[in-house]
Amino acid sequence: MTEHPGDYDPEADIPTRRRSDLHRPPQPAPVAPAAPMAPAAGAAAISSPTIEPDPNAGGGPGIPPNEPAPRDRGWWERNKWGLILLPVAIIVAVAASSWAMVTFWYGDGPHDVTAAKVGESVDFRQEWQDVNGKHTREVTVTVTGIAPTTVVENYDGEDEEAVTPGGTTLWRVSMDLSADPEQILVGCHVDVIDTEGREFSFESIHIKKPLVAKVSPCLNAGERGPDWKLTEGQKPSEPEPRPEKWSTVADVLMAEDSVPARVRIWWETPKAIEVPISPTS
Amino acid sequence: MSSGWRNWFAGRGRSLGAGALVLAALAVGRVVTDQLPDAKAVGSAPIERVAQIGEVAHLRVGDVKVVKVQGGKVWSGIVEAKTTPGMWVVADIEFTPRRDEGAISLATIRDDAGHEWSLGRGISTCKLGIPGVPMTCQVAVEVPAKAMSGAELVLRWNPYDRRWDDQAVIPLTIDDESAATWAKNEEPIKIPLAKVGR
Repeated sequence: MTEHPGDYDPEADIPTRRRSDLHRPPQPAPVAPAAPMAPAAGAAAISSPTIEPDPNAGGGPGIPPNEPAPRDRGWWERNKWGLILLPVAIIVAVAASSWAMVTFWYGDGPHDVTAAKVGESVDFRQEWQDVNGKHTREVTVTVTGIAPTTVVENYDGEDEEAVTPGGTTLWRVSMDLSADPEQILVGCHVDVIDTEGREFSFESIHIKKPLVAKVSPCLNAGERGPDWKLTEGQKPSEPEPRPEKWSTVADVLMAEDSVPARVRIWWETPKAIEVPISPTS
Repeated sequence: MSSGWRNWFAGRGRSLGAGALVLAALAVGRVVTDQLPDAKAVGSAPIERVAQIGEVAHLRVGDVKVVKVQGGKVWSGIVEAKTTPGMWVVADIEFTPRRDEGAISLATIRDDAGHEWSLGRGISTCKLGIPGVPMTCQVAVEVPAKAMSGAELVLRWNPYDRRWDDQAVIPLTIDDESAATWAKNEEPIKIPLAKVGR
């Protein structure tokens, strides 16, 4: 097939045309301006309407020669916005999928920590809820020290010589607390974290004697204060009025090779108080 | 080839060809995906620490060593006893937790045919340890009274979520002889509370 300037095939030159030109009708082939005078014999071909356009003068067949040739942009320039937005998209994708970490385990840990020094008072405040509704826990806590001990405070608040499993050591954490006597402070936890990051909780299950140790690490025997209500129909316990200020101890069983490094006091995660500590504190 | 066909292949034909190639690539990708294991499952599969009886398996939650395996029709704890029409496989374990919540809460027995018997009515006393303090404890798993090819005891921390964490795998020998012996053993296997400390 012979190509003529007037035979327009819209798809014939797709590889050589820009997308925006696909539906643009072809411009007529350029025609040299008419000669003001009768052309000379040698110039007749120049003024002919069938002259082929100079391939170097324009964008090729179908592209107006007067339109500037499309600039040959490099790959980086053509993909500039995609490259700029790629890191943003990655960050958004990671953030959008990070809910799993938060939901499954992060909220279970004591990550909202108020740090304090030994002897420094911390005004601890936390919203919480039981069957009776929402409450605000407000208590001031001061960790005053930690030392090895051979006795354990029992259920009656008396120190009793302890019998513990082989390979363990008892440490006594001393604390001063103050709070409104109407504050509900049951449910307190005291942990000691050693220099290897191992966590040891206040509990008495492995202490062979006394058989029943102190119930709450933050409260003294007979001074529990008001109780929380965990279930409907829960019978109120005997009132145990609590003073505004009191000192108490928590005896924590640790591995015998442990060296205490931090004391953590908390009621409900993620809020906690942490006090860096050493046995000489 | 005429110029019209050439132009067609250079234009719309090229687009159709590219589309066909994309579809073919998608189809091949689908076949490959179906044939390969699920990447998420492989990536989150538990890490297995194989240890023989008497060897220590170092897990994230602590060091665990199976020191003895026995079997019988009955196990007897401090408050209950359980019989089985099959047999109980009971493992005596030395466990030193590394973490506050260190425990062996999952014990299963599996064979090389893909069967797996979970803790079910069995028991694990390897809980509530103290980090860094060794404890002796037991697990009991109920299985059919028959030989098992490639039997293995699997011990791990968490029975609910098997992703990413590690687990101890202890090869067992449950052949015709041991299965017959254990299936006839009516003497209750004692499972006391765990002993914590040396």
